Amino acid sequence: MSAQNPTIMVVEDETLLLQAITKKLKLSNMDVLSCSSGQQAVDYLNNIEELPDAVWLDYYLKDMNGLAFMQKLKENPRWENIPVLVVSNSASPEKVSTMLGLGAKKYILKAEYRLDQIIELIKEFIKENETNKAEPQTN
Amino acid sequence: MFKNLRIRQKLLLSFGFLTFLILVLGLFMVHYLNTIKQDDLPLRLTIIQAQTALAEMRNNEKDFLSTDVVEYYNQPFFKGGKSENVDNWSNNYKIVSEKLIVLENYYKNKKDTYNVNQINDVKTHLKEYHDKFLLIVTNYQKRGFKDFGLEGEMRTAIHAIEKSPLSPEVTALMLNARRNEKDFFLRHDLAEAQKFAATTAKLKTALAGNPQLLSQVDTYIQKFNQIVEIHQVIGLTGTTGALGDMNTAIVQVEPPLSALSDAAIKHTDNDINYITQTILILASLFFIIAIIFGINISQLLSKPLQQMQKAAEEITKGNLGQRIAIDSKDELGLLAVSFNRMVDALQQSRMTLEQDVQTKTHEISEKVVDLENTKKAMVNIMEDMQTDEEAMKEQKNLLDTVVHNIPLGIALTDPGGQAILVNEAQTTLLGPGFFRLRENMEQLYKVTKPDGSAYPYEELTFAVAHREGKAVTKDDLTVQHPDGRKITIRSTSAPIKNQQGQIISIISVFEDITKERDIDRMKTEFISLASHQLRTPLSAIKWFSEMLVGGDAGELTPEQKDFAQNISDSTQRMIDLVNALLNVSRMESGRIVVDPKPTDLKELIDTLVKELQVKINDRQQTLIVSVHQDLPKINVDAKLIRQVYMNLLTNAIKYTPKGGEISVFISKKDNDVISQVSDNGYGIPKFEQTKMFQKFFRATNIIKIETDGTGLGLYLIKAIIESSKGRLWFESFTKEEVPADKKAGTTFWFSLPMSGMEAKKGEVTLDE
Repeated sequence: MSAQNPTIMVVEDETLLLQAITKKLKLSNMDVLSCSSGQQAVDYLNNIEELPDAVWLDYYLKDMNGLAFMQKLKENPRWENIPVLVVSNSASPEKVSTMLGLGAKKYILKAEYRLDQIIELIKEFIKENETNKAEPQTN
Repeated sequence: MFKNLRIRQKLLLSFGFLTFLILVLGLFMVHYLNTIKQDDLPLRLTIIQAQTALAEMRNNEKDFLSTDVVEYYNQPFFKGGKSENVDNWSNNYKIVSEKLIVLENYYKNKKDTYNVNQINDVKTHLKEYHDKFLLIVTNYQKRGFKDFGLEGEMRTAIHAIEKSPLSPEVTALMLNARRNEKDFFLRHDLAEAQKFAATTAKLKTALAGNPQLLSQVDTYIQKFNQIVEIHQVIGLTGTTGALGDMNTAIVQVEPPLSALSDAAIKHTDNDINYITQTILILASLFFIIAIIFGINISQLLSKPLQQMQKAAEEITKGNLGQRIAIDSKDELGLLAVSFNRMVDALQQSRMTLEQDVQTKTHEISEKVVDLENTKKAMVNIMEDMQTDEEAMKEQKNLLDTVVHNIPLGIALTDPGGQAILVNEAQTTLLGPGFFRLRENMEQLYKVTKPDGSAYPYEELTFAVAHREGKAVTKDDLTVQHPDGRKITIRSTSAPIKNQQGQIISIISVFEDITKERDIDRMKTEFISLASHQLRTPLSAIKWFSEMLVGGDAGELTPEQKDFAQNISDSTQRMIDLVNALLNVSRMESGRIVVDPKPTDLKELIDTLVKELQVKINDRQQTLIVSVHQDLPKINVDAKLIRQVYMNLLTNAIKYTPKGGEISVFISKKDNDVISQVSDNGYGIPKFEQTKMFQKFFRATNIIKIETDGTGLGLYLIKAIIESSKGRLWFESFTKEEVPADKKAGTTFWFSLPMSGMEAKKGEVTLDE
């Protein structure tokens, strides 16, 4: 897996933003699973063999919110270890603490971050996650 | 002399003199009374005694003549015995004689010849009386009675004749003789005696032959003739003989004695009259003298007193030139001198007083005008009050109506939390009996905190207002109504204090802010949502321009790149503005979370400086940070305080020219932590300094230099500091305005209480 480009699932219902993110991730040598709704993302996860290395999740989605998506993710043992970065327009302490409590790696405000900054964060998560997988026995 | 005596001495002298006069009067009276006692009274006594004794003599005399002589049966007197009457008479005679001698001597001593002669006449006549009486007594004794004396001898002869045998002629003659004898004794008529002599002569003739009987008849005739003689000496008719002489004499004794007695009485009367008159005259004299003395003494006292009184009146009228002229050396004189001195002093003090009074009068007249105005105003007020009394009643009713119908809950409670007055709205909002239940919050309506936890009594506003003695407002009273509604109530309580500053009651107002809250929430949500919605396109612009500039869409010409960079910068400003707006909206809504935690300010600053270092380096500025060595961790919401430092530092960096200096000092002062952020930058013009903390304010000088800026930074800082019970202040000078002893630039200070911020459960934080 390390030889391949990492795959990032992006769940974002704003088409323009999804387009920008997908473009930037690809330019950063990453494979992208672009989903414009929560349900689409869940369907993807159910159908693909290779799970994404990380999920870029917008909190507010048209069909479901980030919380519901996170819960679905955590309900499935296959999915529960995928690192999730929540990128939202709103970051109230309740939401942040709920999402982090459900296992999200980080919760950031969209407008506060440049794309390359976010990509750096995702790379870190993936790297961290692989390290964890490499030595599960020791945990 | 007299003038120089004291009043007491004057009075003593006057009374002494009067007493002396009265003493003289008394001595005079004693003298005269003695005269009466020693002369007049013994004289009168002697005369009376003489008169009394004389009267006794006459009584004895009468008694003798009527008893001893007339009632002569068996009288010892005629038997040669003594008569008591005569003895008493003799004793009285002696007394009279002695008294007469006393009187004679008295008058002789008085050389009263007339009375001496009178006494002598009396004595002569008294002797005459004395002699005649004794003659009568002797003759009565000689005559005798019945069987005694001459009569006894005569009866013996008669009895001898009558016992002899007599011829009828002799017997008849004898009877005639006896009848003549008895007639004489009965009538004291000498004619009867002559008849006796004729009869006895015939008898003698008839008895010529009988010598024995003849001799008896002769004895009879002899004795009868002797008795007739004695009767004649005595003078039994009272006008002749010794009886007549005696009566004549005694008549001349009594009147002179009476005259003497009268004279003596008159003398005594005269003496008494004399004393009376003299006393009257002297008493009148003394009275007059006393009156004269009295008048003199009273004048002595009253005249100077009147003078003084007049002077005092004059002084009272205001004539202070008045003085008293009394030259006597007595108490009044001394009083006058003191009086004059007092008036001098009074005059002196009055002169000063008058000056004072003039100034005071001026002041007073001004005050009087004020008072008059005040009075007029008061009269107006009083009139208004009177006319408005009805209106006031109406207003009171109105007020009651307002209190009870106002849609605000109103409660007046005592310091113990018991209700004094509660209006209907209060009951409607908080439920009946809210104040009665006091500590027991389990009541009809459930009163809780917004999170549903029980609301402690001591946190209720009226309890806090009572405890802290100041007005308190809280918006978190939540009431669960029985119909299911949940109402949020703003309660405001203020203590009502008396003049001593003690809290006597607490007034509380309760307002249903449920709708307000809903609207507020909607507003905040709207702003929040709008801002969030803005963030999506902003993020798109931000990221696309980022990629353009970064060459992700192929190499750009330098101009294209420049344009893309401008888009990127503007987007960033737009994002900052949205963030700032969001924060302001949160602060204003009061829903901001305050979550104090022990915070190391130095660490916080250092982190900030790291973040800002790039900017500082870009501008080639110097930043100095100095934090007090022993600064303890302070309980603050790091997020909020970070925002404060951040805004102040970014301002300092922005508004200080390249190469400028920025410094941060954090120090302790009393119970505060003081933070100072200063720069030597552009400064704020003086005329705009008052608007510093207004929303969207930007100074006119820097707006030309730095177009970037929202005008919300300082406003937000101020809101944060004040909500943390701190203070924010500054000093700023532009290059043009800086004084000689100051440097151009701006310094901000803010204080935070060492005790830290109060925690607040809000709904939002900064930078969501």
